[in-house]
Amino acid sequence: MSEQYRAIGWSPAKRASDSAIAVGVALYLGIFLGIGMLVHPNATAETLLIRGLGTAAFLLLHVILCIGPLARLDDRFLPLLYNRRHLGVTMFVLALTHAAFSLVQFHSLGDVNPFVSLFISNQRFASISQFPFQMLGFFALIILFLMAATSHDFWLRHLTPPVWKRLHMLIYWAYALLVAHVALGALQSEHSPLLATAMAVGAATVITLHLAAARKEARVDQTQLPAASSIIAGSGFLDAGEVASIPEKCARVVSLNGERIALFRYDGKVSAVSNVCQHQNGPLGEGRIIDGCITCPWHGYQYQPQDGASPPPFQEKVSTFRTAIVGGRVLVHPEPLPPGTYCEPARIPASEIQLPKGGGA
Amino acid sequence: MIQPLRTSHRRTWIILAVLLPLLLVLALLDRPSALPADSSSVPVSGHPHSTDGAKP
Repeated sequence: MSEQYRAIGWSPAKRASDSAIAVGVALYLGIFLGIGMLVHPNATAETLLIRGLGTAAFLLLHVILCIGPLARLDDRFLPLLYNRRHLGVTMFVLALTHAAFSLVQFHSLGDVNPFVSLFISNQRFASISQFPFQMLGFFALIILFLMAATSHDFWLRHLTPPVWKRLHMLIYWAYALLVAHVALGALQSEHSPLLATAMAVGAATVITLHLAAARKEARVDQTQLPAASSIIAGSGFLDAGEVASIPEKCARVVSLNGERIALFRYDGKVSAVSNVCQHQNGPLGEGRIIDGCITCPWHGYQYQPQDGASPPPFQEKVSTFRTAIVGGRVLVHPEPLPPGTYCEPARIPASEIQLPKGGGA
Repeated sequence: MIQPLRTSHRRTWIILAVLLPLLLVLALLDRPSALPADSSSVPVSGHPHSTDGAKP
């Protein structure tokens, strides 16, 4: 977490994942070049390599963009989030190599600086089929560079999660620029329906997944908690539902004015903390209590449920909320306490605790 | 704190859901038609994606 700087926190799983990425990319490029030489025997190796690198980067970008919404829609995709950064950096390296080869191939043979040539050699902005599509790729590459350069917890901490998150949301506009780059570039000279179909399917998949995940999120935000005045008059507490509805060591997430609170049940108690992990704003309420700590499902950051503080030596803290249990219902006070503030957990009455079958010994 | 990010994310994808299909359709509609099979003698036009002279 936050104790010291390390370039990459290697683990056996991460090494295996990176090896799989490297093998996958090498296989893709090998197959692409092999088929390319058969289908386009007149094409030069450089041209095929430019196309292979470009399509590999574009394909990988689709995979990366699908991981986020898939993980929001189904927990089984959560492990993919752990390795998304390395996929992103790999994609940037592929895109950069594609751009470098293109610049040399198409803009370095004249008297003009290749970067200047990129911007002045084609000015047909009014034409769709002759549009200077390479500029679109250049601007997308700038965004990808900013993202790859800041894909480290060092930058996440120094930029703060909200700023870092906003910066990395530029990937959506980079994606739009790259769709335009391919549609106005390669698609204009490619008459086989394969590329057009693949692009349409890819864009439809990415858009549908993101809209479906956004819809799911919106449903949570639109749920308003009723006041608990009928239970405790004038207390300001809100009724967050039955305590029995919260599984042991897990949470129920409720929304208050658009901000989410995770109500965790553990060891006969209930505590409430902000649902937003301080690392990458991951959904704490979708995590579990592991070793007595709330554990973020995205990257495993941990917080103590009673005070929202990470266990020493870590320093992350989230807001806590006062809770009470009356008549089998969990009540939560909407006013957040400062991050890291100890808040006495609400005790679940013995009559409300249902022991699992075979348990209680 | 995080709500504006969620709203921004949602709006972005609604815009892209309109923009990207429109862009693809326009690009496909304006695409130059393929030349006849004997066009292999047409010189490469200089278009970066002209690998075999098929680009008019």
